[in-house]
Amino acid sequence: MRVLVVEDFKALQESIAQALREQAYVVDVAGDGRLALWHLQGGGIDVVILDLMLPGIGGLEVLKTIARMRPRPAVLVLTARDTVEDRVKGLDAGADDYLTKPFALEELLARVRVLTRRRYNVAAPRLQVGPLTIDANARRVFRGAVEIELSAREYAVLEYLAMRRGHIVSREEIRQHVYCDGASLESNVIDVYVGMLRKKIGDSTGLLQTRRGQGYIFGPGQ
Amino acid sequence: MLWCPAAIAALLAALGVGLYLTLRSMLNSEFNGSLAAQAAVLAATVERTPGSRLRLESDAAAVRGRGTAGIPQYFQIWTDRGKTVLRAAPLASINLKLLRPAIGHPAVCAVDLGGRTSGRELALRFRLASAAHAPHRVGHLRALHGAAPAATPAASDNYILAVARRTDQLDDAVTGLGWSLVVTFALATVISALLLAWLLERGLRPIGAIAEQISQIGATRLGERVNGRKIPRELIPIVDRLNSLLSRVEEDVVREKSLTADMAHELRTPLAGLRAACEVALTQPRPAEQYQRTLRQALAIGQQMQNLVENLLTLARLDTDSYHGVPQVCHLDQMIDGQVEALANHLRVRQVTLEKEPLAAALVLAVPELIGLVLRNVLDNAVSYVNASGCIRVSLRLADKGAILDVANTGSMVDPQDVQHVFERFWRGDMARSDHGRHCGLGLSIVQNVMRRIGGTVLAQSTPGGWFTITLTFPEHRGNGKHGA
Repeated sequence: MRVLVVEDFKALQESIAQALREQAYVVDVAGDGRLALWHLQGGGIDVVILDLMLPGIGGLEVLKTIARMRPRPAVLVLTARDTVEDRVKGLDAGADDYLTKPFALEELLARVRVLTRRRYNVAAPRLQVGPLTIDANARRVFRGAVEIELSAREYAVLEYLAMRRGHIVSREEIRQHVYCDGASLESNVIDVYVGMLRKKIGDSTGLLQTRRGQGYIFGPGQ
Repeated sequence: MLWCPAAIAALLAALGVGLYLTLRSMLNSEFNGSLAAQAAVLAATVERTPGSRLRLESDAAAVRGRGTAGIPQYFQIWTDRGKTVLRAAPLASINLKLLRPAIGHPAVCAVDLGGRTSGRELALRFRLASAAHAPHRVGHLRALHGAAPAATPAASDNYILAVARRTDQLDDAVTGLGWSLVVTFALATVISALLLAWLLERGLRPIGAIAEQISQIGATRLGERVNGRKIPRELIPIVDRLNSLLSRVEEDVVREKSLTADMAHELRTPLAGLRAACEVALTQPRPAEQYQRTLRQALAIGQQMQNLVENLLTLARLDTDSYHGVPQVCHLDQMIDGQVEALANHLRVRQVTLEKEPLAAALVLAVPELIGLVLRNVLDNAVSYVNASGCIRVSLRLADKGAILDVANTGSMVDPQDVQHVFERFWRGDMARSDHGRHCGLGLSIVQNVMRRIGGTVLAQSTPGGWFTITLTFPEHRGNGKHGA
């Protein structure tokens, strides 16, 4: 999952980004509204953590731009403004959630998880795909009662495929949502991860299928 | 407003009394005039008989020809010595009062005409010419016009004539007039009071409506204005002023809210950064370098918050006039040198060149702490926002308007249109001024505040990508002037 952190206070921006990366999110950062819009134009952002008081283009303007985007990333407004009026203004402008500074890191991560699921219309934190259970909160995967050990990147690829289960997911989509290190379409790194995943989840039943020239489909097709 | 009906009642009462007295005086004058006319006619009709007795002229036509006054009912004629020589029959045994008026000056007095009949008597002195030389009407002419006799008359030719008339009709008229006025006054007072109350109520109704509208405007509805429609033209200026006042209050409240929001942002954001940095560090065991990095980050945030709190306290002290130092003569050039030296290490780290022109010797009378505050903030601002390997230029010169200090730095990112905003608290218009470094957007606001206190001025100029210049003008101390805080 790809998260854009828009915060002009460098120390806070870095801490949030680090915490999210350690949770296997792909993180982009922006210190002002202009850079935030640039990242958004690139696409693939699932959740935006947005400070409202930004230099240059303000947070509310960024929020209005996001509201017009299709598909629209979920937005968690992160601000020092805590009055009801401010919250209403932020939510009316298109925010999905609101968190006041200072905040508990765990709460921020929990809200990002909820927004990620909402982005893909997944209600429960536990996803069931065939014999696999993916616990998005604990970031653990089970086959029946047996836990499958996955690296952070493997888990990120699997989680994204699970969120998009039943849909054909292109390599470019996976690259956008799961990678931030410039993996190109030509490289076969995604194929390598998918191959690794197939082995680890013991996919002998064709749960994760390759569609030639299109990408992958996880779970039963629609 | 109760004094209004009372004042109107008093005014009406005064008018009523005045009218009553005037009318009564007019009635009395008319009555007296009528008596005088009767007396004159009577005097003209008096003639002497051949036996030297007096009698009234027997020619009734002549009497009628004297006018409408006719012969009075009550009259009496005395000789000059007070002997009654003729009297009207109705007087019977009653004597009128013997007054002694001068010729041409009739005398008037109240008289009892018997049977509880009150009356008024008018007496005049007249003279009858001797029968051989004068016609009958001499007495009439003299009595009417009061002309002095051509020759001294014989004592026996002077007579006193008194006429009287009942005054009961006059008294009734005056009493009736009085009562009419009292009733009219009372009715007028009541009607006026009612009319006034109605007018007041009607006139004050728009004020009540305005008051109601004002009572609806609260801290959360400051955008509302008093509706100026359907109000009397006289109240429109008041409503306009009121709306203007509300606009100013709204602006102030918005500014205060914005300031509070900015302050919350500036305080909570570093707190959030501090907390997040610590929490991230504690999520899992990490190498020592990472903990050191977190600690350095926490220390930097702590220093920044300390700087912010100190600046906020400084502004609060300036706002509440709590800087009670004693103004002293400050050597501005020496103080600038001191501040520049203190920044040397910082300049070296940032590889910034400082060009200092020879500073003019300038004296300023002010609290030294305040001058230090200004210089520190202005130089700190330049050092913070100068571009890497850029240049800072400092000059101090004397001019007619005072000592002028220019502090300029390269790498300005402030749009010239926004340059006046740099003095606003927590201004975040340009990216360079919001990176939450050592500055929190209060330094230049402090500078402006202090300069205003010491009677100086501060100006900012910017050329994008070029120089950002702060120009301070200090009131120069020339030994006898009084300046400073």
